Amino acid sequence: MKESGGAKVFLVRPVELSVATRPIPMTVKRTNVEIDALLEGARPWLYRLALAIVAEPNLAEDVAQEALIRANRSRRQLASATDPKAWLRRVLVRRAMTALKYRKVDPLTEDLTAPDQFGSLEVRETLAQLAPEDRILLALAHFEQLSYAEIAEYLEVPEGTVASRLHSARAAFKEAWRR
Amino acid sequence: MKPEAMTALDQFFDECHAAPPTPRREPGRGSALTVPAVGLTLGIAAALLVSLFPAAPAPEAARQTAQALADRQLRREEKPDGAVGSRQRIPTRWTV
Repeated sequence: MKESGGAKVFLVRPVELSVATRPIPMTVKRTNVEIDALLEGARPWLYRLALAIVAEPNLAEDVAQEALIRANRSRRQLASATDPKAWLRRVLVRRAMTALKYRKVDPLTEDLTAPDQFGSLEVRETLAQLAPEDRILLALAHFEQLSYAEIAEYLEVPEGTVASRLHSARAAFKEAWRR
Repeated sequence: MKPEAMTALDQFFDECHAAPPTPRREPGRGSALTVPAVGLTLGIAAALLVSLFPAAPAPEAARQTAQALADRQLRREEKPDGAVGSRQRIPTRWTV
């Protein structure tokens, strides 16, 4: 409220659209056929994302397969997910985290020069020295090109935490690379 | 000389983008979810179930077991001064 020549003038802010008046996204309900097509179409992408995280084709295929099985079991959730790609990515990241944490074979002792191995040996050796969380962060930021906000949503941490963790992950990679 | 670390990492991720969707697998080296793995899991589950729920004893064996238990209970009750087996009964409250 503001006094102006004896008259009271009310400064009114422009009315913003309230939550109630914003367009509400339509509730998605996918059929089983649509989910089948979705999972089949997502398979190559899931495999490549798994490969970017675990850096080994066989393990990546296992991780992608397990993520697909998990998604298939949770069809009801997938049927109503507003962003199925994000939903699948979250499932895959969790599977990859588990695979990296409980992996029996030490990546540094296995035969990295086998013909079916993938990518630069040096990069894979360097990645193997990083914590699973760092590998996932690097893959989400560099491979998936996700923003800090999106990564923060996945990891359920503030954006600032993502920035600092990503900085640490990059520093850890560079440090391991120099050795 | 080694390339820059982040350049090498980005190159690696580029290779991941271009990776064929189905990698070549060595014969006999399958996923963790192959038929033998499923068979082994089912076998272990069946063995666990069998060990958890053993078959009912034969009627004669069951009768003998029940009789042995009853006899033992009777012998316990016959002990003087509340002695149970070779051990004395532990007092419920210690006095100082």
